[in-house]
Amino acid sequence: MSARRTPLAKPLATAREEPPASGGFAPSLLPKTEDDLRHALLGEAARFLDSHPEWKSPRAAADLWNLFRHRSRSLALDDFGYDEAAAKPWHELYDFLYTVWWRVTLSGVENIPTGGPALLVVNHSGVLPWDGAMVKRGIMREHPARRDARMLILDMFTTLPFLQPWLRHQGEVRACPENGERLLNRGELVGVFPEGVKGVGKLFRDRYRLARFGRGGFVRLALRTGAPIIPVTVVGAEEIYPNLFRMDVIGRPLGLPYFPITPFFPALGPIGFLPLPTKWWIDVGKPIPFKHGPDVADRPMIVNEFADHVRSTLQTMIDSRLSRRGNLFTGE
Amino acid sequence: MARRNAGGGRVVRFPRTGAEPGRKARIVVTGGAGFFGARLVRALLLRGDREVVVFDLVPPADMPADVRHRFLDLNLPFADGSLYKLLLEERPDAIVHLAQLRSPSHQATYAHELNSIGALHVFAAAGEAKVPRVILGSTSLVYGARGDNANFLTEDHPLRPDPRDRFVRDFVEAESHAREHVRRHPETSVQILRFVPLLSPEVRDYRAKLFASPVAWTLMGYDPLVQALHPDDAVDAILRALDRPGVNGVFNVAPEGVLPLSTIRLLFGSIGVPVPHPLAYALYEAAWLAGVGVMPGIHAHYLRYLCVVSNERARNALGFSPKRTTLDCALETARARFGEGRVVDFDLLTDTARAADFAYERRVHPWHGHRRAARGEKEAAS
Repeated sequence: MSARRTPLAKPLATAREEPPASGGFAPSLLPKTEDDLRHALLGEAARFLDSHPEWKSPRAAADLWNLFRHRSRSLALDDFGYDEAAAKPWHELYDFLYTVWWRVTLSGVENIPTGGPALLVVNHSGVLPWDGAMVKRGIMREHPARRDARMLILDMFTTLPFLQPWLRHQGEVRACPENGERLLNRGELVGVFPEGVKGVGKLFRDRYRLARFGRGGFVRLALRTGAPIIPVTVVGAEEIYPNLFRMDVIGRPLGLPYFPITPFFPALGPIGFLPLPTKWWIDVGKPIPFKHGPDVADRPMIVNEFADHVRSTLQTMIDSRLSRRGNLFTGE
Repeated sequence: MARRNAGGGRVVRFPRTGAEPGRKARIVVTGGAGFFGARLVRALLLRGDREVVVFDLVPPADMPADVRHRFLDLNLPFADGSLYKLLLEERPDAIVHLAQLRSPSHQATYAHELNSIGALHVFAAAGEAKVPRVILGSTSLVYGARGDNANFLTEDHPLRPDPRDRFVRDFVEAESHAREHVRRHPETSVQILRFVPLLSPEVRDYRAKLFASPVAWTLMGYDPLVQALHPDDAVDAILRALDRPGVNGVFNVAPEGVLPLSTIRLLFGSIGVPVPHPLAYALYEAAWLAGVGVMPGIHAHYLRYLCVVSNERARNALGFSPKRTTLDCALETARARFGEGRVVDFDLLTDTARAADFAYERRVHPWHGHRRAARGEKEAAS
C-alpha cells in the first residue's frame, strides 16, 4: 500500500544507524517504539510534550481550552460578577463609538460627586441600550475621579443567553431594588432607566417624549440609601434606529418584548443592526433636592409626585437641548 | 409540667426537659454518622462543653467512646413514635436535624420519606417531647434558580423552586413542617439554616461530581454565578446558632464571593460542551434516567440562572463569619483532587486568589466606600 510509504517525521540519522531488518528486505520506516509513533504522528508537538511532561495529562487539553476561553478574564470579580479585566478590551469599541461614531458631547460631569453613592436617572432610547454604554463610558473618560457607573439593566437583557454573562462581566446588574440598594450602600455610582422597556422600545414618532417613570422605585431607592438623584439626559440616541412599527407577532414567540421594524431592519438583515451616526449630547444636571426624609418611602403619593418631578426635570433638559440642536448628524 | 388539653379537659403530663443544674447541655444530632453530621459531632466534642448523642442508622465511624449512638430510622412509618421514646430517654436540650440526602436520588420515594417526612417526624416528636430547641439544616436551593432573582437573595424572598424539582421541593416541605411546629409550639426555638451547597476536597455530593466530571454539558450562553460553602464554615454556623438560643428564624449560611460556573470548570480542568439549553435539559434528564447522570434534568435550572444568597442576617444575628470564600473552596478542592498533571498553575492561581480577595474587599466592603467618599470630598475641597 502506497500510504505506508509516506515519509515519516523521523530523523534520517537514526534510521541509518538501525540494524537492517531480518530477512534481507529494506529497513522498515515504520516506527518501532511507542515514542517513535508519537513523534511520527505529532511531529513538533511531540518534542514539546517531551520537554513538558505535565501537558500529557488528560485534563491538560481541557486546561488549554479553558485557559483560551478565559484569556481576557480574571479571578478578581466583585460580588455582582464584574470583571474589570474582561471589560477592558471592550473599551476600545466604546471609545470608537463615543469619539468617532456618535461624537458625544458630555456636559455637567462635575455634578457627579467624586466619591460616595449617587443615583443617575437617565432617559432611555434607541432600540438597543447603547445609551447606557455611552453614559457609562463618558463618565469613566471625563469625570475627574474616573468613576465607574454601574447601570441597572432590564430583565429582558440580563436573562437572554450570551448577553447575560457578557453584561455581567461589563459590570451591569439586573434592575431590582435589592441590587441597587446593595450597590449604593457601598458608595457606588448607580445608573437607572426608570422608563424601562417602554423607553427603549418607543416608536420614532414618540421620540424625546418620556414614558411613565416606572412605579417610583428609583425614588424609594434613593430615599433608603440617602443617595442624591442626578438627572442625565441623552439626546441623539432616539434616531439611531428609527423604530417605525413594533411587530409583536414576531417578537412574542422569540421571547422578545418587542420586535422593531426600522427602515433598515429587518429589510437589510445584519446591516440593520448598524446604528445611524447621529450627533449625541449627554447632559448631567444638578442633583435634584428632595425636601422629605427617608420616612416617606412608604407613602406612594409623595414618592410618585417626586418621580414625576424628576421626569419633568429630565423632559425640560431634553427640550432645551433639542431647541439648540441643529442638524441631526452634525449638530450644527 | 402540666398542661390543660383544650379538647377533652384531660391533663397531660409532659416530661420535664431542659438543663438541670450541673448537667452539660445535651445535643442530639440526627444523621450524625453522615459526612456533615460527623463533622458537627467532632466540632462539638472539640469544644467539650456539650454532650452529644447521635441518632442514625449506624454508629459514626472514628468517634470517641463518649459519643452515644441510638438507632433511628426516619423511613419507618412510625419513626416519630420511636424518636419520641428516644427523646424521652435522652431529654436533649436541642436537636440538630441533619439526617437528609443532600443529592438528588433515583429512589424518589425514599428521598421524600427522609427529607420531607423525616423532618415531619422530627418536629412531631420534638413537639410531644417538649424539646426546647430544634435546628433544621436546609439548603439555599429552596429559593429556586430564576431569571428574575435578585443577585443576593435574602431570607424574606419567597421560595420559588421549580415544582417539578422533587429534590428541592422536599427541603421546602421540611421548612414548612418547621413553620408549622413554630405555630403549634410558639415557646420553642426553631432555627432554619439554609446552607449553600458544600464544596471541599472531601465532599462527594452531586455538585462536586458535576464539577469534577472531565466533560459536561453546559447550557449554551448561560454562565451563572454560584457559591460554594466550606463544610467547616457550615459547622461553624451551627455552633454559633447553638450558642444563641434566643435568635430564631431563618438564616442563609453563605460564603463571601461568587464565581461563574465556567471559572469553577477552569479550576477543575473540566471541559464544558455548550448545547442549546432545551437540549441540555433533555441530555441531563436522559443521563439521569440512564443511571449515569448526577441530577434530574429539571435541576439544570441551577446551571442556568442565579441562586445566590446573602449572608448578611447570619453575620449580624449569629456572628457568622465564613473563613473561606467561594474561590478558596473551589481552588482548594481542585488542587487536592485534580492538582496533578495540569497546565493550570495552581501556585499562581492561589496568589491571584489572594489578590482577588483583596480587590473584592476593597470594592465590596462599605467602609471603603465611605473612606473613598471622605477622600473625594477632601480632594474637591482642596
